[in-house]
Amino acid sequence: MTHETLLPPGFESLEPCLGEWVLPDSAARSNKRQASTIEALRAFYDAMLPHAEAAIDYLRNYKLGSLPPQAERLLKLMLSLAEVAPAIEWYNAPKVYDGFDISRVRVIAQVPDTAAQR
Amino acid sequence: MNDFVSPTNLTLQYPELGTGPVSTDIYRDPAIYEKEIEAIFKRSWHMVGRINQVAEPGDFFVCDLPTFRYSVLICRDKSGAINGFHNVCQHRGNVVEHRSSGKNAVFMCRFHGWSYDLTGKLLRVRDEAGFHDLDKSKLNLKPVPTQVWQGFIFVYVGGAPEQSLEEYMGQQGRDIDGYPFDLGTQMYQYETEVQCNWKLLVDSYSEVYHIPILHPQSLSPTMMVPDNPNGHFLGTWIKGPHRTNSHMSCFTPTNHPIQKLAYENQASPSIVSAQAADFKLPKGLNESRAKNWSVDLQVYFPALSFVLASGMYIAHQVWPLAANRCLYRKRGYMRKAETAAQRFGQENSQVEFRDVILEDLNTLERIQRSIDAGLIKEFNFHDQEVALRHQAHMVRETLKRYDAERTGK
Repeated sequence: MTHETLLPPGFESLEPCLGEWVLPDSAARSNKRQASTIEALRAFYDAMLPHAEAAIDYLRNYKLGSLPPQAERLLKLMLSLAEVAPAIEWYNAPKVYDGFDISRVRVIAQVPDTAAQR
Repeated sequence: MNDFVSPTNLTLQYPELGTGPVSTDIYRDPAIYEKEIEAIFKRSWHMVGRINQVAEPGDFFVCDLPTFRYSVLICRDKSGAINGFHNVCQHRGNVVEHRSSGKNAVFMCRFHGWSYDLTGKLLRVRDEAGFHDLDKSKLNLKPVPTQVWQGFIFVYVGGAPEQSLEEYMGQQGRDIDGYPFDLGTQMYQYETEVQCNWKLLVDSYSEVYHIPILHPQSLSPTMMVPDNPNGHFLGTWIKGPHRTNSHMSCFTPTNHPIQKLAYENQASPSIVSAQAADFKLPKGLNESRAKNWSVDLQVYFPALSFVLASGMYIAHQVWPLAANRCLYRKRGYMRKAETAAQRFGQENSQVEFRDVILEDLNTLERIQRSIDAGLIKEFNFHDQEVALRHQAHMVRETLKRYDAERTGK
């Protein structure tokens, strides 16, 4: 317990992503994607991809509303991956190809990231 | 394997729609627009929220109606009834509730402090002795007809409704009875003003002819499948003023590993049905009972549309602002995620739908500019664009009836 890691065992190599990719909510993740270069998005995606399936297997064991800090950080990284994935898998660019200016879109309500859902 | 037969003669099933070019005047003419507001929007029920937003007595929310430039106040009173009011204090016209939602025993105007109870009754006038001839009985909040359909709260702002909400939702509404709307408890919402006529926005998700071209990386890989290379509808059913398009898609293994991982970890099926529905299909959902059904789009004339998948749904709403401007409001309703893994699937669904919408909207503003400049006077609709033809037809018919009503008197 003296050297508790920030992420669950097996995911230590993702720690360098924590500073940039643990974000408060969907809107913040969207803003982060829009403000990033495709190189930065790809670096994050490439770091996450080899661990993504294992992360989901891990997160399947945890209920929203009672996430230990390590699992919560891992979930936050995966939520950022959900935001970034279309930029890599669909567009090869941060923005939607020939897309509507997302700064014109107002977010009115979001689903909470980690709270228990009712 | 090839069990999909593309319906190639959708338009011919509805001879009243014709097959020729359709004038674009209803997409640009300010006089027609003004008439649409009177004849169509003031005479329609408008969805403002869901009953779980006012689960308990005292719960309230405020919903802005952009077309009319005012808001309605919805609350549940102590008897359990859901009430709707114009959000207007009867003293000087300020909004009686300035917050977007909350819980109240009374509503107090944050101007001079007049207060009203949950039935709209004027409770207290601050420093009342200073008023002359104040008839408090005439100063209750002004009610707005408010009714509930499948857990959605609707209001009617054009005076006394000509038909009940249930009658308004009609056959299409009855055909969806049994769809588990109440399971979509996790709501996200966003909105944006788009520089186009409100019908162009409704049109944008009412046809799939554009899918392979405008959505080549996003929707196309799941909708352009070998059985159905043009991504045609399973069918379009016109039901009175409303209509349903039924979509097919299937998730084929692609070079999209994170998308695939998300689809496999939804709390419930989303954009592509990974599994069968866990409820008995209502008659009006996947009406052709196709194996590769994914979602239905139900448009309720004029401007409310539901995308219904077996595990989530979306409400698209378009609020006209001018002949060439509208507000697009999208609410997504997802089932609750129990585990952190399902939360990932949920977020993917929200992100994908948003990116797809972003792909759609620029086109609409470009079309509008062409129409406004007089550079495109007619639309030639594809058979798969029959829903657009029907929408234009409904607008014309409704305006014609409105004119006849007024000149007939």
